[in-house]
Amino acid sequence: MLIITGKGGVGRTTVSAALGLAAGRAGKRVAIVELSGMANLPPLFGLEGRSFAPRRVAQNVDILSMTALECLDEFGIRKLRLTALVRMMMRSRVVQAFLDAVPGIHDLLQMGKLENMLSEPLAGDPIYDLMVLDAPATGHGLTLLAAAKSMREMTRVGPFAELSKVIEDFLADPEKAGLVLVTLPEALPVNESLELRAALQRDGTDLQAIVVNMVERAPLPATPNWTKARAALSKVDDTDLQALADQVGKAVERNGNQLGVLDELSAAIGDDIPIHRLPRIGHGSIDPTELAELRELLGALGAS
Amino acid sequence: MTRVIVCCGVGGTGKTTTAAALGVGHAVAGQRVCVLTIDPARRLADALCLDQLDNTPRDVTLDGVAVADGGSLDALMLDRKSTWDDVIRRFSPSEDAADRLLDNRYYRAVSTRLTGSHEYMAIEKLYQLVQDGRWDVIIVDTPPTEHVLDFFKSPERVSRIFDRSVMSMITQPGGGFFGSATKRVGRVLRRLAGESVMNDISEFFSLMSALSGGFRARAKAVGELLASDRTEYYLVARASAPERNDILGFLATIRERKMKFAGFLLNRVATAPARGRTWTAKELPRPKGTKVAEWEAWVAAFNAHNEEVVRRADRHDAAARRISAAADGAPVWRIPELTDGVNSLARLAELGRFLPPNKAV
Repeated sequence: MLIITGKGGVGRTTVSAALGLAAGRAGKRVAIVELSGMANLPPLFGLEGRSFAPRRVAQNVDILSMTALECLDEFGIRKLRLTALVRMMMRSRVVQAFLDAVPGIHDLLQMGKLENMLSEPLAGDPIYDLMVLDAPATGHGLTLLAAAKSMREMTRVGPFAELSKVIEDFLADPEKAGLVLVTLPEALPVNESLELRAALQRDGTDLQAIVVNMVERAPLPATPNWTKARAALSKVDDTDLQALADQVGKAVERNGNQLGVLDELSAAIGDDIPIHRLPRIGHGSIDPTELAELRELLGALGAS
Repeated sequence: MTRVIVCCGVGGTGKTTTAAALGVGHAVAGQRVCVLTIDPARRLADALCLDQLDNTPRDVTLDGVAVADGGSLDALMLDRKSTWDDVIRRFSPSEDAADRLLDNRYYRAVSTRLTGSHEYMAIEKLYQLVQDGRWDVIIVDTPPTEHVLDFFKSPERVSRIFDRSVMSMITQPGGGFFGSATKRVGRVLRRLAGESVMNDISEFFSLMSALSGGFRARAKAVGELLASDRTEYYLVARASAPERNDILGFLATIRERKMKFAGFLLNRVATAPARGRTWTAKELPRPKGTKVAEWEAWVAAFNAHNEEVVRRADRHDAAARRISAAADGAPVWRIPELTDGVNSLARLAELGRFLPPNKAV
């Protein structure tokens, strides 16, 4: 399982989709998964709404979206062998209140379901080689780990405690689960990434890879350099030109800052884990027209 | 009467920075302001000179910023755990009861990790600040969430948990019309979670019962304030992708609850200063030591960049119109992109010029 984490707005969903499609193209059977009933993935594949049942979006690639309640229901069938009647009663507001009242239980149930899909699929279940998890912005790997730990602090017995143990072991095994951090080429996000990595290392784990998204191209050729060119433009009496040149100057500065930040990141990480750079496409904005463009791009990745 | 401004929006939209800039802007306009931030980035905390981030309002020295008479700024950062502990200590009937609650394993998990308890405590904190009465306006930065609506739903979810009728069904199942069904559900849950969790939860709810009246009364008071016309809501969004922020759901909720929506705060809006212009290499003075072909390539890239800037500005403009139309023509404040990040009070004041109480343009 690859857990794709990162703060809001860094492009986790896009990276998840691209990774899933690339793996599918390489012949792996892939599920790209959203938690907590999110539905950011379907529009990327021209689909609407969310579905707990896997939906095929490209060769070898399915997407699905789950909620804790749906996972509890499955848990009831698989682990407790509850009858249909009891399962029906379990959909009551009492159970919803219980799920809301126990910290971490949502994360735990959903992680449990995913672990189950990989390690012990039931007859008739789809088989996956790889699961790509588009983790929530507020719930990176540390939160998932914390959910399992928190549950085990509260209880040492019962199926939930056992589930927590399974998930802790699963997340701690680099052969089974890996964290991929998506970040931006800016000082603050990169610093936060390094802090997250340090925290993970203190917990005895590490990131599997870092993806730096929306890396901008240099806006202008290297020769003549910006200082020289700007000085030449200053001689022209044209307010439009000067205003634009000021703006371009900021873009040049931003580009220089990005490269500096990327160097710092490489220096801090060394050869420990791979750092992938993704270019900014269409200024990183996703409006309806660009969604179509992105869909096409992902489609090409999935189809070939 | 203290007014409240709530900044809503999902994570990654620049909500906290915008809330801080709104605070500086209102202070500049001569108001006594308090900004309640949730999780400010280090740089922003530094910009507000809040090197000691804590749970009580700190006076922000507005050095180098022209402030109208009477204007002042305080800021604080919500600490979820301390606010919980504070409320428990203050409202428990005895010190012993408070100690037992603070020691309860379930309470510790709730106060640090329960989904929604951050929002719930933001509301407790807001109540305290409004009661204080020191400020003309309190600006609330909402916790980072995946959905805009979480800010409204989470407190309700948490107060539902304190609805003992539901929890007692789980902890002491039995009785009532649905007694036997609930009993069986309760048995399943007990089996799942284990006795000890259930015992902790039972103890928690019995200790909390002395406080739950107070919780409910405060939640009701804040709920009325949040629904009254003393509270204004702004939605913070990114100019490049405002639709991703669940705008329609947000607007529907605001309307449903008859809350006062004041407009959109659109971040990082691109402007195009040289629309429709192109230049040839010949009409621009070629720098010394630059070959003709190099200069031609450079000027072509410069023109291409201009085209990109125009396309981007057009997209942002179209997005601003779309969201305004979706909200019956609500005003949109367009905040330009600052290249070097917001790292000082002067920068916040600069951003503030594009924000309320100044007019939207």
